[in-house]
Amino acid sequence: MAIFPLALLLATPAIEPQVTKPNAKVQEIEGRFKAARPDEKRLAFYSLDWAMSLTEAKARAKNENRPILLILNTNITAGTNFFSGHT
Amino acid sequence: MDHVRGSSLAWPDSLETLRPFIVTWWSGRTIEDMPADIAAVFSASGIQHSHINLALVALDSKGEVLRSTVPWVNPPSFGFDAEAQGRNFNAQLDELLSGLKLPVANNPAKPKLTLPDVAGKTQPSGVRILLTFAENRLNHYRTPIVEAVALTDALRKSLRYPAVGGTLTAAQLKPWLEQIYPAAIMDGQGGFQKIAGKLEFKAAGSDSTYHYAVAEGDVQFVLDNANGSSYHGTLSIALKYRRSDKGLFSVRGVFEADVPKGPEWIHMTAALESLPK
Repeated sequence: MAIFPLALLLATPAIEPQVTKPNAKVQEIEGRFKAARPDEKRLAFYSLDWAMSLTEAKARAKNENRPILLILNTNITAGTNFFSGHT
Repeated sequence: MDHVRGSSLAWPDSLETLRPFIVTWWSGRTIEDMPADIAAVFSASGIQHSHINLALVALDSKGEVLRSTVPWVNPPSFGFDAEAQGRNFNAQLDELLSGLKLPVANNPAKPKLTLPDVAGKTQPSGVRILLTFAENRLNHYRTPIVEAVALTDALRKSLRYPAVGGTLTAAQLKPWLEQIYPAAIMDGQGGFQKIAGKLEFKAAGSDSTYHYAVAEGDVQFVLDNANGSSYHGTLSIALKYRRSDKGLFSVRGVFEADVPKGPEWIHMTAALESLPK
């Protein structure tokens, strides 16, 4: 019977958790996400210089000497947010 | 309003016409909901409508009203032709701004995207959901809908690294799922009769920096409109966790479904991404 040297056993480092790769499903989902995310051209509406409130717009307009365009819309039946698009 | 966003304001010439402006908006159910600062501008604009599909008010750099208009936006009269509608809308913008002496920027900043976001710099602080729609007969939804949702403690808890696997329910993911619906549901209240489904949630490998997990399953939606419009599809999510403490680091997801719009079914795709990265 082979005798395992005690000194060698004590010198063996603790086993690290196995490092593998993210599995194929992760890569598949990330690929589908990249294909699904709209590009800058499709998001051009969001390339206007948006301020999140009239208060913010006024402060910036004063500092930057620029005009403001305020867009107003109402919708009695549905929740509405012109900026996000759920109108 | 999806035609206003998609075929009018996003028309390339309209975007260029509006580059000098800081653009902001107010949306609500009725004009009675306007906060005081918006109501003051509305009053000064001289607009008499009690219901506003769309109104535009130009203000100077001091916030004083220069001019206003209620543009005529009527997709059927253009045969739902986005180009014809875009050209007409830009002509209305030109008319609104004609003769106004607007400040000229010497070094205008290069346009950059401003997308809905969440407060906070913690990674992750929230999730952005970008909804796009396939081409359709009446040119609906040409501009994506984008929403951002803060990551609540409850969501963070639900998404803890699934060392032994498990299930995520639609109820646990409701803050995200309730943003996955098309715009312009004319008789809807912006809500749902039902969101239901289960996702299998399991570990999916690791590398030297991260652990990974995936969640995938079918989700059914029933809107709160009169017809109870419904759709369903598969939601797939890839999650990344810091290897050091197994804390959630990032989220990427996709959902696809065909959604009803009048007599048509339009393919809707949702891309989910964590914020800020």
